Amino acid sequence: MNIRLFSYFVTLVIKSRMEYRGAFTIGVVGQVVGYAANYLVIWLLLQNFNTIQGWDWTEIAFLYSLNLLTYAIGASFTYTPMVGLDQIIVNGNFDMYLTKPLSPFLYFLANLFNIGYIAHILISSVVLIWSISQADITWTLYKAIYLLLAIISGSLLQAAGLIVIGSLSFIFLRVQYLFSIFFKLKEFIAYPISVYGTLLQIILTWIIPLAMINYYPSLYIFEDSLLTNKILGITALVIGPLSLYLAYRFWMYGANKYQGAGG
Amino acid sequence: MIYVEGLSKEYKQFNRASGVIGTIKNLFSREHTIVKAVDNISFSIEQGEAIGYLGPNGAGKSTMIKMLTGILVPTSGKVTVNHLVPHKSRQEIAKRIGIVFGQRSQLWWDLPVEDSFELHRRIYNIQDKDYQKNMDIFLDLLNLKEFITRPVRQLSLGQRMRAEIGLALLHNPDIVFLDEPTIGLDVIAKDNIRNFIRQMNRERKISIFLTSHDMKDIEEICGRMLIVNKGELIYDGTVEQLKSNLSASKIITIEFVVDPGDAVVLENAVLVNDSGIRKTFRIDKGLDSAIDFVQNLSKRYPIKDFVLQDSNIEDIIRMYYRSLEKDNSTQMTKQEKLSVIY
Repeated sequence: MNIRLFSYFVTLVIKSRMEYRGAFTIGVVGQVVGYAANYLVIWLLLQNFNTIQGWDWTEIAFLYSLNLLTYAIGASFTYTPMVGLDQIIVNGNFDMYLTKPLSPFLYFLANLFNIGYIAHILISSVVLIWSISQADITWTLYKAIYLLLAIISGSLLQAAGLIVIGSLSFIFLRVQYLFSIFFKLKEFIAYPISVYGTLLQIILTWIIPLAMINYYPSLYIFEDSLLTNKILGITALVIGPLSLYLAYRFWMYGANKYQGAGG
Repeated sequence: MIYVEGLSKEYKQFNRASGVIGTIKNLFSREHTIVKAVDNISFSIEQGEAIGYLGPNGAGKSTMIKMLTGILVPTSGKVTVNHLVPHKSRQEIAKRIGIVFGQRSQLWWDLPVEDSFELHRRIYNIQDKDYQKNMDIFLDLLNLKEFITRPVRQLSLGQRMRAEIGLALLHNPDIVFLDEPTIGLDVIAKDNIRNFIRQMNRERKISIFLTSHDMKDIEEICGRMLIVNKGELIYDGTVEQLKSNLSASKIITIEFVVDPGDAVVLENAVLVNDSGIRKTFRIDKGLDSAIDFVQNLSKRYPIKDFVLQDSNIEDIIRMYYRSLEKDNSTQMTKQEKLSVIY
């Protein structure tokens, strides 16, 4: 599937959603209000503490927005197909994705693209840009490119997380509770991980590398010297594409198992 | 075109023990039964042939279609479609086949029908010239023009199925698989769809692989019929042949004054349906023996009324199925039982 065909799918998805314009608008407004409330809670918290582990309000806002923005981009492509996959398999509707001259993976993502994340993207981009303008950052071209790549890599990593859990549907048929665990875990990175104990920091860096989404890129952008291990800043750019590739392979393995190849 | 030899597909089916203890036991050890959905089936289909693939629910019809289209990988046996192995060259084969699942839709529910056609044009990379030519034909023959600009959710089931079939034929496939395409449709919609499929088969030499529970679909569209039951192929031949083999049989439904019970003595007759005082028999040796049968019976039991009819193809199939069910009750014990621990 090429990009033109994928974008035609997206066009159809948008057109479908616009059939229910009212519901769509309410959804967008609801999401924006919901996330604005989340920002407000953090802001209120920082009225009392001023900083969390040396991070002030604008920096935390940046950290939070980077997580939300990359999630929204990744989830646009993967949330609906992956969270819905177990049900799609159980209902027998997965067969349809194996009847076209297309990669089942890309066809599946394209067909279930979700435009609803436009709300998340909207609010997180606004806060991200605002926080960049407020925070004390010495900008270089290098840093600007770094930020762009970090957003891409983070989005791929978030997508990979959803894909891996979704792929387990092929094996266990019911995986909704795993998604709940994943979203709970993701709450840890709403704050700089330096507030947690060493063990949790190691887990969030190396085992379930969620800190690669926003924590290490933020360190890199705010204050290079804070990032004692520069490798981590670079790793954050590599881990996204790498994990997406592995997640894709895992999904294809699952799809093969579904078809009954040797299983 | 399609070549199938010794094809089988097995599924593992886990047995669930009942009760609290059984549920706990299931967590650690589950027995499973190997179910043969398709059992050692062989046949081949030429280009331009229309075949009806027939069998009761659970006979393995859909499994066969899924193996021929590359959705499922067979457990054993050989299968080629257009000289390619479906599950190995799934995307290649997908370009040359069309599929209609009567119970699932390929159309975008909230969008006008034409958007789904445009999407298919792009998926299959159909040339403008071919697209235009097919659309002109379909708009006319399937009467798509009356609803092509309407959202799919507003269409009747018949209209939707016409659109589905047009969509499956848009890229000029060599073979079309139709899995119960007329399910739930009214007589007129069924006729329209049958005529269209028949026309495409005759004029374009498109091979048709049709499963249906409606015998008329198969009589009108297909020259050849395969009957399967419990995964096994039990009949392969023309529709005419099957009919003539059994055309001598008559079906008699007798209404007794009192239910004679199971004690009815049956000479030359097979009891095919028993609902108390109404019993249906099949007599295989023509009209004369049917009349004899009624006369003999009326001497022994008071008869209120009787209806004599030629057996039609549906009855034949029904009898086929029923006689097979009896044989199969003993077969269950043959299935392997394995125990897995994990």
